Amino acid sequence: MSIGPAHFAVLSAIVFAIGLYGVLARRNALHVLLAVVVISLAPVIALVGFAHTVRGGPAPPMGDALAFFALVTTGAIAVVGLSVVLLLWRRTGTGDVEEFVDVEGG
Amino acid sequence: MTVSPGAFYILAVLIVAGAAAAVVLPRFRHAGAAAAAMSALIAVLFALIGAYGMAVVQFAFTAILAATFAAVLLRREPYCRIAQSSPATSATWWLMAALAAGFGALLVVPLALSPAAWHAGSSTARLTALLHYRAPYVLVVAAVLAVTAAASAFLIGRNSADEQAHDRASEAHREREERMRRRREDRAAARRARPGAPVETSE
Repeated sequence: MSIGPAHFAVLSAIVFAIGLYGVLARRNALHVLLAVVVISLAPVIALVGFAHTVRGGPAPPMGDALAFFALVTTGAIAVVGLSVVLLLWRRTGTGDVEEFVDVEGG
Repeated sequence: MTVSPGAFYILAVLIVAGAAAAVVLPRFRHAGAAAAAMSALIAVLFALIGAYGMAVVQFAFTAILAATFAAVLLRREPYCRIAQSSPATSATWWLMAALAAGFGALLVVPLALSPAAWHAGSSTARLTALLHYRAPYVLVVAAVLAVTAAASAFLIGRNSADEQAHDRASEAHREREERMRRRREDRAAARRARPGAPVETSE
């Protein structure tokens, strides 16, 4: 039996579901951010797996190109998300996401 | 390049365990280490299937992100308390777990039941091809995105001048209140110690 794209798709889906649980169930903003990173890494697994196991795809480098772009996007989400968490911490003194709903600007 | 099923399954189990630890462990330091380990294992998996360029990029991503979080959260005193400032999980975590499990099953079951439906062609893909072939725009757009994200993060996360002035004023106000409280307590203690002072009775 050889490893094919379906194996990568299943692995990606499991990682995505685990990350989704983290986003929904965690209360601390930093933990939620970590779960968002886990979610964002799931499609990267699928994209690279597809690119290197599905032969004869549309264009050879495009799978890796998409995965690369997804990875850069994940990094951008993580860094900007971290700065937003720091800003909210300075404004509210808490990292509890359930208290952020009451934060007002101005 | 094809990866052996044994190596794939071992790595897959480790990646899933790392992801689970990253979202379940109560201490942020441990959860962050688990996430970094998971990301590094994904890079190893990429190397095993022949995606060497993506493996290097994934390793670099892991290192840069871990270093950024560590530099911000561990080295700056006020920020290391963010992770302890709230309960780890929501009270309805079991409902969220059921939701995530249901959504995961919705994704996993069709994919697992139809492995034969995937088409396998005859060519391979390489990230290195991007450097000289047809898609340099991805690299340019990714570089612009990275620079924009870093600049945005700096602008959002920095302490502005008025915020620093506000923090200093708050600190001065807090110290003044503390001095006045101590002075009141000292005066009350001196009154009590004076001979002939009325004895205070607590009710």
